[in-house]
This record gives sequence, structure tokens and C-alpha cells, in this order.
Amino acid sequence: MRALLALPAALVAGTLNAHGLSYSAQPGSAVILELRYADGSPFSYESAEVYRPAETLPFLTGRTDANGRLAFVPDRSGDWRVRAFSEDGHGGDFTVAAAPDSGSSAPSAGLGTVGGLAVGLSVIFGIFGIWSLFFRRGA
Amino acid sequence: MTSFRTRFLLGVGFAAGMSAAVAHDLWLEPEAAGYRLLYGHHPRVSHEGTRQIAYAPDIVKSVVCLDAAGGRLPAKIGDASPVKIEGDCAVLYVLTSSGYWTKTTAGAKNLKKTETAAPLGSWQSFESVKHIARWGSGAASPLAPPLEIVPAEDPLALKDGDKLTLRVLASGQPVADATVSYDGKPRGQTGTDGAVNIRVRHAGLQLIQASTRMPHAGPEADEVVHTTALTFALGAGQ
Repeated sequence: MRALLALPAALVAGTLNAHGLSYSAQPGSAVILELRYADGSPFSYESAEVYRPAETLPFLTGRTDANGRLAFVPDRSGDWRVRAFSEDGHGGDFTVAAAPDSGSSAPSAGLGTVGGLAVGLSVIFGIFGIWSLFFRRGA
Repeated sequence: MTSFRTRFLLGVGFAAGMSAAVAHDLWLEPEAAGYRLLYGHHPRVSHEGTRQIAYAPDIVKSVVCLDAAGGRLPAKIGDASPVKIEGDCAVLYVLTSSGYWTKTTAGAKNLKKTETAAPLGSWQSFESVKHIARWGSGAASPLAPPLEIVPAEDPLALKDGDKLTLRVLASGQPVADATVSYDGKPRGQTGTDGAVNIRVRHAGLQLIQASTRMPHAGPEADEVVHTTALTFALGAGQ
């Protein structure tokens, strides 16, 4: 019985900590750029870099998505530099004025391993407590 | 469920010509004793001014230099980029090809479709340009290359606002439904006779472009994409 009750908790912890990589989905605002060729077709799957204001180390490197979109979450105000380029010579280098969203929570590293275990144990003890309260009292 | 709100969605268009596959301009810039073949964004097309893109000289596949009467003249072709073409050409036609391109999830690659693991689309790219410096039967007659634009009358005699009739020909045959652009902006499509009318809107260098997409015969690509340009200069700025 205890093993059965522990299963949902283990699943929750595993989802949060699959292969040692934790994640969290956060509410907030992102700057989304849509990059297109002159004929309107998406600048898809091409290289892109985003730089914080007045910095030379990229804040983000990656690729545009299938729709030619690129998103980043600014953590400071100013003119953010965006470079996007393809092997066949297309591309752009421009700045976008952006600022952090005051309503969003600060970025965090997620729950992490200890946090995931704590959540899992809490769920186990919680379910065991409810079971004890109702079933053992009845017995 | 949490979600990201879009604070703003910025659309950024690359001033890059006709399409993803054929988005650059190829033009000839007159200079002493000949021309320079330039590739990139022509200042008439791009709002950000001229942007030249370095290219390998071996993209030049053929050069035709004609006198005003249509006689062939020798032309000296440089081996450095940008390629210099020396010759007293009344009409100069240059055909280039950067080869095969395949779109993948790692971007566009200069590879055949058969050389990539997961191709999303592929094309063989050709670009060409014809510059008319002097009118005559050489400029009025088709050269019969893979793709060209042939004016029906002397374009050098035009004034700002005049109409010009053009024909788009592939190997000497009319091309129907080809989109023709002036300064990078689509102005019309050719009829079954390959003809289209455009109106010149400024002095100086005129840039008229047409492009075609045809199925590729072999497995190396899905399409053959060819963009051709016609250039000539009017009045001041020649």
C-alpha cells in the first residue's frame, strides 16, 4: 500500500528532475522577434545571437524557429542587439529597445534536486497522513 | 498552466530581393575600361544602402560581351572578388551560379538535397545580369541564355515616367507568369508572350528583375531558381 501511494509522488519528482535537469515554467514577458525575407517567407532555422546593451558576449545564441521567430527575456533595460544570419549571406544586425517585465518573477534555477525530493516527500507524507486520518481511525 | 505573455512582437524583414532562395541582387557597376560584378543588396532595393556580399569568383559561369550591332567582343574576366570584366561592351551578360542549396533545421546549407540528412527544401540557384550601355541590334535581340530580359525599344531614350515594354525569355522562349520587379518592388507578371510593361521612375541606374522557379530534373534539388536582372542608366548618374 505504501509503495502504491509513493508512486504518484515519485512521478511528480521525476517529471521535475528528469535526467538531472530541472525546469520551471514561469509567467512573464518575452520579446518575440519575427524575422522574414523581403517576400514574407519566414527566416526559419537560421542562426541568431542576442546581446545585452553594451555587451559583446552573447546573452543568447541559437536559431530561429520554423516560423522565423526568436524570443528572449530581457533582464535589463536598454538597446538589445540582435544578429541573425544564414550561410547564403542573408541576415540582419539591429537593436531592439527592451526592458525587464516588472510584473514577472525573477528567473530562478527551478526546484533543483533537493527541491524535487522535498516535494516528493511532502506529497508522500501528505497522502500517508490523509490515509491515517480516515482509514486508521475507522479501523 | 503558466505561459509567457508576448510583450511585443516585432516583425523584421530583410531587404533581400525576391524570395528566400533568390533574395540577393546581382548588378554591374561601370568603371574604367569595364565593369565590376557586384552581389548583395543594391541601393535601389535596400533602404539601408548598398551591402556587398563577398562571393567566390568561380560562381561566374559565362560572360557575353557584344558590340552595338551584336558582334561578339573579347572580355577579360578577373579572378578576384568582386570580379572585374574588361571590355568595350555595348551589351554585357553575366551568368552566375552558387550551386545547390538545401534548407535544413540547421539553416540553409550550400549542399545538394542528396547530401543532407533531413532536407526541408532545396534548389539550384542561378543568377544573371544584362547591362545595356549602348542600344542596337545587340541589345534588341535575344541572347538565348537560360533567362534574360529583352527590352522592346531603346531603354536609354526613356525619360522619368515613360513606359517600357520588356520580354522575359528562357533560352529564347517566352516565359509566362514571371514576376517582374522594378527597384525590388513587384510591378507585374508577364503574359503568355513573356511581355510586361513597367514605368521608369527615376534617373540613374535602372534595376529590373525577373525570377522563375522550375522543377529540378534530378534528385539533387526540388527546384531550379533563376533570377535575372536588366540594368541600364538614364540621364544623370550614368
